[in-house]
Amino acid sequence: MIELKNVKKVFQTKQGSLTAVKDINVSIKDGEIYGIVGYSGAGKSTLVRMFNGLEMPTDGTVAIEGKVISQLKGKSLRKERQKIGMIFQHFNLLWSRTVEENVLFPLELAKMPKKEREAKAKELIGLVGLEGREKAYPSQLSGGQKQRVGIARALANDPTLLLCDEATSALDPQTTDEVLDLLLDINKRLNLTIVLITHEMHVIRKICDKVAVMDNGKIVEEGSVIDVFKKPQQEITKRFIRQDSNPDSEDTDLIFEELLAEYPEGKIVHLTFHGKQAKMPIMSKIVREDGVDLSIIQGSIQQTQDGAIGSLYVQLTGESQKIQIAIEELRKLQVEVEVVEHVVEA
Amino acid sequence: MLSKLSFGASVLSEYLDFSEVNWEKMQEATIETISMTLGSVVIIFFAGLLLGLLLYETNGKNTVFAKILYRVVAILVNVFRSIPFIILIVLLIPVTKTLVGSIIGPVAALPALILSSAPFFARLVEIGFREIDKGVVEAAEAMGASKWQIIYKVLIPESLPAIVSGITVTTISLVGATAMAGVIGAGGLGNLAYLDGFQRSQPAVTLVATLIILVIVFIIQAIGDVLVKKVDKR
Repeated sequence: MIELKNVKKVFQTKQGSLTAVKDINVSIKDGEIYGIVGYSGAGKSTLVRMFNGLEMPTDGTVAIEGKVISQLKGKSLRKERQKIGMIFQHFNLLWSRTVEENVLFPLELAKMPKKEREAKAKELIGLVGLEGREKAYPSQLSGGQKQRVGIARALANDPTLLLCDEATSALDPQTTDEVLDLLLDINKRLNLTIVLITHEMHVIRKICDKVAVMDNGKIVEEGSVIDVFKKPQQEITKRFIRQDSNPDSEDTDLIFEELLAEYPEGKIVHLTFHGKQAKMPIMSKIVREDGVDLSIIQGSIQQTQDGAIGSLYVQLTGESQKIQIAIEELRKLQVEVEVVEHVVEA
Repeated sequence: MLSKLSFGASVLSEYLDFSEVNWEKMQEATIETISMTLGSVVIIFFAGLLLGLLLYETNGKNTVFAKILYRVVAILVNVFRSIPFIILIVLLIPVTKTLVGSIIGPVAALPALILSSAPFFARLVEIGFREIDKGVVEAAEAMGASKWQIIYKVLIPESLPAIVSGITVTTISLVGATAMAGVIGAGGLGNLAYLDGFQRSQPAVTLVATLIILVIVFIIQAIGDVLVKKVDKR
């Protein structure tokens, strides 16, 4: 159990004081994958660094398993940090050490005896799938392999918590998915709590149980991934989700504008399906029974940890009363319906 | 024309008159140069490493103590790096006299050699440390490394190529400095070239001393290059 209470961080700069993070209240259950998403400058890097005391809050407390990290100092803080793994966007491996020696590094810091250390390193290298590359130097590895070393190193002292600081942002999409799968696998296998920060909603959707959206140093929206994806409340959250589900959203917006101008009587609606609705012939039922016409503008379906989420943009035309009935009908079938009145800037 | 040619020949014959060279003295001087260089390099290496670390650790820190320390060390480094060696050695004569008890001989050259080169090497060490990715140091901190563990497990190994090439450059400049120290009686090849080569007009002695110094410098550079290649895994 991790608890952040009223956490605030103010940096003193030459230009004056800068509030990076404020009013943060978060509680994370053991074994949960908790994602924090936000644009750069939102304060998420500062926030994640407070979990292991790399940054200390100006105000408020950070507690892990009841231990208040934000009040520890010196040796006791270092001891606690050994139980918190961390991986980084740029991997931050020691280039002067081989894969094996990099994994041994945290074990040396924890003063584990040599024999045990070597056995442990071997096991970890196996866990992340790098057997046979033990003697390679980081410069000889690909990005994905480097992050695997980073993960093995972070897991060395059997942490209860793993922090991921934009851990996939420097990787290509294919490698990102491989690393995410590895993180998910480790989370399941070791019941490891993972806190990750990212600017990609894709990462949140793929592996997180819960998500917090950060903007301007504050958490503006929080909830289970499926709920947030189904019913985003804030504009910024909608924007993040839209970027993930519809990378060509600018093109879609153009079509919206044209259609809205051409058929002022029609309605453009954004439908969000979840779980079994995504697999039911809902749309054809609506067309048949309610007598409306429908043209599909854009659609996608995506996998989350809690089932599939479908997103569909359609234009409904016909008598306005019938359109209204159709929308009611969709809502009854537990489809999230959002009428697009004007084009949102994504 | 002919007179010019014969003039050239006579100059050449002066340089090549190896009968003037006392090989035993030359060997002794070579050993003195090498031992003066090596002796000072060992001290400079450790002093420079320590000083470089101090510069690195105090640079950009916000405490008053660190700020003052950084200023003081930085000023000392700049001052001793700027004083021409030949002046420094003369300037230091009283200090040397109290420290070593004599101003003649290889040991007497040490204070000036160390003071002139250690700050220079310290700067190179600091630059080497600063080139290390901050993220790597942060990663070590996140793993619970202590300050001391960060120094000997991260900073030094990660900047080793810079440290090795830095000490190579420093050693080579030291060879030159020992020759200058020879002028005030520190011994070595510089001393021999000055006394026998210049004051007794034996150009052949100067030529041989020069060649030996060149060989020493080449050997140091070659060793440095091999070592850098060996430790650089980037």
